[in-house]
Amino acid sequence: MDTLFRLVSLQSDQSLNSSRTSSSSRSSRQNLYQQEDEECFNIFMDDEDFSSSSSKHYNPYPHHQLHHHQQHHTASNTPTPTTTTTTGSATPTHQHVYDQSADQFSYSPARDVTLEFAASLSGQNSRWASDILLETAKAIADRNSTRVQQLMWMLNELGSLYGDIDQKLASYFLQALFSRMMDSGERTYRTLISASEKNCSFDSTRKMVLKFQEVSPWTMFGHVACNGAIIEALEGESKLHIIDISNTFCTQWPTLLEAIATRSDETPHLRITTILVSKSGGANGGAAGVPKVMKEIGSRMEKFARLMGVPFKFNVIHHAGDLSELSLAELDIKEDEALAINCVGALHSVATVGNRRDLLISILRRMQPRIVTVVEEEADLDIGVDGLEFVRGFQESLRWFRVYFEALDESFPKTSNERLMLERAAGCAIVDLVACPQAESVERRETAARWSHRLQGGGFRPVSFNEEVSDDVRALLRRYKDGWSMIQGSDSTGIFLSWKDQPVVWASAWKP
Amino acid sequence: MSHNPRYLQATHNFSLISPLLIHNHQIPQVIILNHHASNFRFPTRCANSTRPITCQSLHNFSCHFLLESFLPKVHILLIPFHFSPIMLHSLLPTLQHNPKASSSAMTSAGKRAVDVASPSVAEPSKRHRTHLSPVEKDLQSEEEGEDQLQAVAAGASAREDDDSTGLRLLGLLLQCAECVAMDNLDDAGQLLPEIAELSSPFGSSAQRVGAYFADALSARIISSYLSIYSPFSPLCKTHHQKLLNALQIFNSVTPLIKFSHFTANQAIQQALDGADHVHIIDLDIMQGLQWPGLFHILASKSRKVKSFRITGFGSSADLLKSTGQRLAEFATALNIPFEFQPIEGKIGNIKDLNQLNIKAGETIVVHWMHHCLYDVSGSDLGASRILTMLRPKLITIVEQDLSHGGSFLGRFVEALHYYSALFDALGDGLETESVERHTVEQQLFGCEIRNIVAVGGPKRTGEVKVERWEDELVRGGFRPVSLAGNPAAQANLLLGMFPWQGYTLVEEGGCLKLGWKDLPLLTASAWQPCE
Repeated sequence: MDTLFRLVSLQSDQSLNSSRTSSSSRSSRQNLYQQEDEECFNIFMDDEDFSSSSSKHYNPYPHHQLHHHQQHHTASNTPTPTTTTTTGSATPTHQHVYDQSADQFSYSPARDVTLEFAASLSGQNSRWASDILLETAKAIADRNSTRVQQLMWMLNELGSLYGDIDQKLASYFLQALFSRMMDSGERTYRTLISASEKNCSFDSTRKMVLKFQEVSPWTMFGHVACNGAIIEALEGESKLHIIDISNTFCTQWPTLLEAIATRSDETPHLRITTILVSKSGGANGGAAGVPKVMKEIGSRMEKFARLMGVPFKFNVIHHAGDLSELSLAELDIKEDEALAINCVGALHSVATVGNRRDLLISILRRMQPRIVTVVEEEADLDIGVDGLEFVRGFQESLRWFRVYFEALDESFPKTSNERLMLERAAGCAIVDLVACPQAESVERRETAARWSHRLQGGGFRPVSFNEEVSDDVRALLRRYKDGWSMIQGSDSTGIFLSWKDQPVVWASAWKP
Repeated sequence: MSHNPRYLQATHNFSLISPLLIHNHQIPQVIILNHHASNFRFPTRCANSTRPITCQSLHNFSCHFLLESFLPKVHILLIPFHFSPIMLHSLLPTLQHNPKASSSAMTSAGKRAVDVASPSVAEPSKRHRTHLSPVEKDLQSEEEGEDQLQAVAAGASAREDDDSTGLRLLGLLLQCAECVAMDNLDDAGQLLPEIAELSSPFGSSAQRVGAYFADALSARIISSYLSIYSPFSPLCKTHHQKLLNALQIFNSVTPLIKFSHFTANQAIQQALDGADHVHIIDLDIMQGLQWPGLFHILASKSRKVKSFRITGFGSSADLLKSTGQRLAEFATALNIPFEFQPIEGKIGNIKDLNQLNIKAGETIVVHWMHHCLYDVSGSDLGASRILTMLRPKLITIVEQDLSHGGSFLGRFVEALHYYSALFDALGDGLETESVERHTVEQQLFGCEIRNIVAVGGPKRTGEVKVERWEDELVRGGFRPVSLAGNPAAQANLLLGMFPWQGYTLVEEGGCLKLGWKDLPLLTASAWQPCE
């Protein structure tokens, strides 16, 4: 069977090559289609991609001995630090490339970068991915395309989506930097999002969200704090309306329903309006996954409310475009209902261009809510377009996603599909931050201080969480592994969830 | 609008079944063809009269496009060549093990994969109508044509999705590889997110294979854009340590490495019969796991060796040192006069036999276990030349049953085939969530797949690789030593000693082949100089 196998493969190779030759438009390569090596050297690079690059002069094998030119050895792991003596091993294709490159380089250009990061790579608590990635960002800012190319080569060789934290960071950030270099960030982002939505199902989403809540307080922290503040603010009201702009698939509400059901006075009517935002650009792919999931969630919520004996109405509003273009008319706000607005991860999904974020806050203010609860991840990810601004933002992104990946790593078991889903979502966010224009970005997080400033400027004042809420949060954190704690925000604006002394999530409550 | 695809795998007599399917409007959205199905006929959909399009050769790309333009709703998945059913089956285990269940699932959901060879699905449309549940009937009356298909598909169970995931993955992977082969890197890159999304390193065997091949394709695409193709191997100890740990796990969870050690050691001890001074040259010694076994064999013999030397090639001086120390301890415990000679480097880069420090009267044995983790020889031709000059008493070689020749596409398909079997073998007896399984797959298989798929792979040096070592050795004046006797018995014993099932041992022309469900994975052979 084996021989047959090889025979068949030989025959089909020939037919394949002939068809390729005839269908290929790259005339320069046609005459090289002779054997396997033709594919070794498909130097495929547009000048536009690396505008100032001299890529065609690169030695494609910076570590490898050039066979027929007397070159230095680049790697130290060969026994004889002299030239190889092999002759006749280079095909015409090799010569083609080597002849070009050999005149340009007397030694491998990649040797320098290899040595540069040798210490970083061998260290015990090495954070090599951050070191190399940061250098890459700097090289991009400096428009040093040679260096960018070499650093990206290292990242590509060392990174792996399924390896350790450094390998993952290297891989996800490389994807983003690569899209940026190719000027294809938006396209990559759209492809990633549509691929994930295509495969998004209620089951997989539910599993992922619930598992995340089971192993980490990351999302539960905000839920507990917000629910506490909302219940306190709506105390005694008989008709409640919660406008929910969040990214946690309504997992916040069952506990609130429970709390309302067990209230001492008469059970109030509750209406929840969930706003689903789809970017105008994402209309093509965005229509598929999430609404399907929300429909299922809605019916389950209604069932749960019936079970709890809470008079309940659930509404999903699809809002296309930026959240700052939200109109009050869409929301069906009624005078006789006490209104709460719950924003979990919602504010940072508004683009940073113009004053859209302040605009959204003023819209919230005009709704005249009793309370607004805000949960945001604590990071300053407003990456600049270019230069030092870009490097600074990139560095902060590196810090943030390392903390996030580490927290995931320590919370989840090593081989978890749910963790993989969260990491992939983070990968999308990284592409958004690094490679997409600011006006399209939905991931640019700001710090609590800046949000507080914006909210106060928009006519809100902070409300402290009461002791009961703090106790609930502390009780929550005790359910998880060590490393999580709660910190009080300065100026009594909210509380932070912190992981190993780094604040990661901020929860706060605001009144007009 | 994207449909949940329906598949038709045409392994055999495609032309017989297709008119029937078309007639009943059961047009599959994906047709998988291989070389068996050449000259198939497919009536066009638009014309009621059946105008057959005859396909002369399935390796012809234009034919692919022709069909697609005639049947826009049908995605033709072209299997470039030698696409054996084994591969499909290892990607679709449920289909293989339970064809009945899967075909009845097909008829009830209206979207299942069909093995055309199976007679039970000759009239799918009839079954489709009679086996509908009330819900599905409602759906059918409400929605027509494509919408119906989609609605029914949405209601299909998760298990069925698992089935079709394997096929979709396979189709996308081949499509992506085809783009890479045509130098259409842009389109190839656009396919990757969906492949990644469907695959998972913690899923079924098919999803795992998909995950690592997608990773390898992505790395290849990026390196093509960067025009730097060389591998980067950090020379640090932690890197090597991780690799060796993974190898140790691999050694403990499959018989593959043990098989290599056992058979080679048996052949070696036969060749060493009567030798006083032994010199073993291990072309890639790593931790030297193989040699304690040989020490034991030699120590148990009545005639003792007077000296025993191992020359070990490796890339890290540190590692070679600790390997040497460990081996020396073993040898001392067994009273074997032992000496270790580390050589930091590769056999193919040796210029002169003096570097091997050969002493007069030594019986020399060379051992080489092939893999695609990194380039072992430095230069295959150089290695071949050294072996010819050295003329050792015996050469033992363990090769992967994976040819690296041919075009990129050929290499890709063959590797997909090979690793599907290997992932399947590893998964046998290990849980989906097993950390050991993940470590072996990620550190070893993933790394090998990357090198194979890479530009200039698997050595990634652009150097011409010796494709068939048997031919090369024969040219160099060696002849095969049969492993049929003692080594085969030992290998059989090994397989019997452990709980592994599904491994198959075959003796072919004096070589021993260890395979998974009849797909050979490793071939062990031994060689001696012609007189």
